[in-house]
Amino acid sequence: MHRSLLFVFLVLAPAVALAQAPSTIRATVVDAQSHPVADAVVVAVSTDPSVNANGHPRAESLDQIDKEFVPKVKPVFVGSTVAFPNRDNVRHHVYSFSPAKRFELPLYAGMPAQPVLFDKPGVVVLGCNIHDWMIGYIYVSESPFYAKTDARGRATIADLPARTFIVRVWHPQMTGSEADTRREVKLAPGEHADITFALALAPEERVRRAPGVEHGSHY
Amino acid sequence: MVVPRCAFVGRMRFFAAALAGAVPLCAHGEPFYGADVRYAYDDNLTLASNAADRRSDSLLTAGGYLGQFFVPSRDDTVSVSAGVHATGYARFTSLDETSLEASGTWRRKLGLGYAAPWIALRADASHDDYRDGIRDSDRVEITLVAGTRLSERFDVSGGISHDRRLARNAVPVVPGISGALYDVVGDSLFVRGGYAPTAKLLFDASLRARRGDVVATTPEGLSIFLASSAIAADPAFGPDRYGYRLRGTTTSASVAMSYAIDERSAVNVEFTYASTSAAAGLDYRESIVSASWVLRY
Repeated sequence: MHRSLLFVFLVLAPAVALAQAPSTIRATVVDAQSHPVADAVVVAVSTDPSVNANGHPRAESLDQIDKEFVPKVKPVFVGSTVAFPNRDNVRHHVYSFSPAKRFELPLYAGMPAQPVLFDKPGVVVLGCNIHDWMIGYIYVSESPFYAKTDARGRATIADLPARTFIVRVWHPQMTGSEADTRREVKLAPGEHADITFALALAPEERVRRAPGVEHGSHY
Repeated sequence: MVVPRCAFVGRMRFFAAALAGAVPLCAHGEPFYGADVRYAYDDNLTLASNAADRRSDSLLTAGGYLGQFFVPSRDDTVSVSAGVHATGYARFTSLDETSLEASGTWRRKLGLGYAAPWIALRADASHDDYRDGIRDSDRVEITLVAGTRLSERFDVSGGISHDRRLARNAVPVVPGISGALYDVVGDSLFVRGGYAPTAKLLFDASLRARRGDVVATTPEGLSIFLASSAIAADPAFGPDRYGYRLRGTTTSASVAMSYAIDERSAVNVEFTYASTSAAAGLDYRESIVSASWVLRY
């Protein structure tokens, strides 16, 4: 009897472990010249809604350092809150006009009193009313499975269940729509899927920070 | 009539004290500093009408400033700064000068966001010490300007300014006529626009019209003598040269290109063409081409 149980355990355990082994999507994002694209958000949405619903909102943070948003692109899961600590010596006035989240953090130094709740998926463009060149992006994902590309254009979404996912990518400078980047990926247990996105990027639209030309009277 | 050297030193102390007074405000504002170097060529330094009287030269200016930036409210910013610039000329070294400068700007945004229109009031003052004492002067300019950003790439602004230059030395050569050649006053109207096709590149264009006093240097002449409100010898351009202060209208156009080296510095090239119609039928043209490097932290 005991020998039979041991046999069953030895045979089934690896199979069960394999069935539960997390899968991974390794994405590479390049531009039209095949150069790596940093700060692209790769999102994997399961075709099984119950899988997406397993995510947990988190308390996130996006700093202002040297009069810039750091990081410039911040992906968060829907329902998460984001604090905006000001690490500069000068006060900031953070705002967004984006439909996904309209808000305004009145002029402040240090840590604002309340973090901001991002309860609607979409892209939230951030600005500062004092420093017009400051621009940042919060990507609010409807799926808990997302990652942001590094300087080599690579992003890894780990700990995925074996399901079918719709994978897409977003970048602030992309000329096409995010929906056009959709790919279907079927993940087997423990599978590591590699996927490459090629994006057409427009020049960055941003208010110039560098000093310009000073005109004065000549008399 | 020449201001003693000790007075200049005293003014330097005043500027230093003003700057030192701003330091305690650091706790509430953000310090900033900057530097610039500019090379320019001016084809009509004498502002002369006749080609024979024109003198051209190249000049090099270098300087720096430091200041404080304050944010009193969501819509308001205030900056104050003080600095020093020195200018040297290749040929006409009597025009070499050192300027101590102070500047203050209040700016109000009329709304939220980078595209909100804004208005600003700016005051500039300087104490200019030339090698040639007749040009020693103090300057004040008050500028009221309004602007808006049409997009991340386009911005436009326009405004008015009042400039006043107070001569510290007066050396009359004609009884009954002022020798305070560089006591000049004027009012300007200007517009400018900027277009940044990329994050690095900025094209800038401006138009300005100024009604006020101008100082032209020429040999003696009856018509310009009769139209002048001040006359003084101007040995900077030769022993037989006289400076004449006249009322005139100057219209000028500038185009510039600025290339951002990084987010703190840029190199600029600029061309300015000015046309002046002054009293006694004195009309002159002036072109200035310049290249500069600017840094701001």
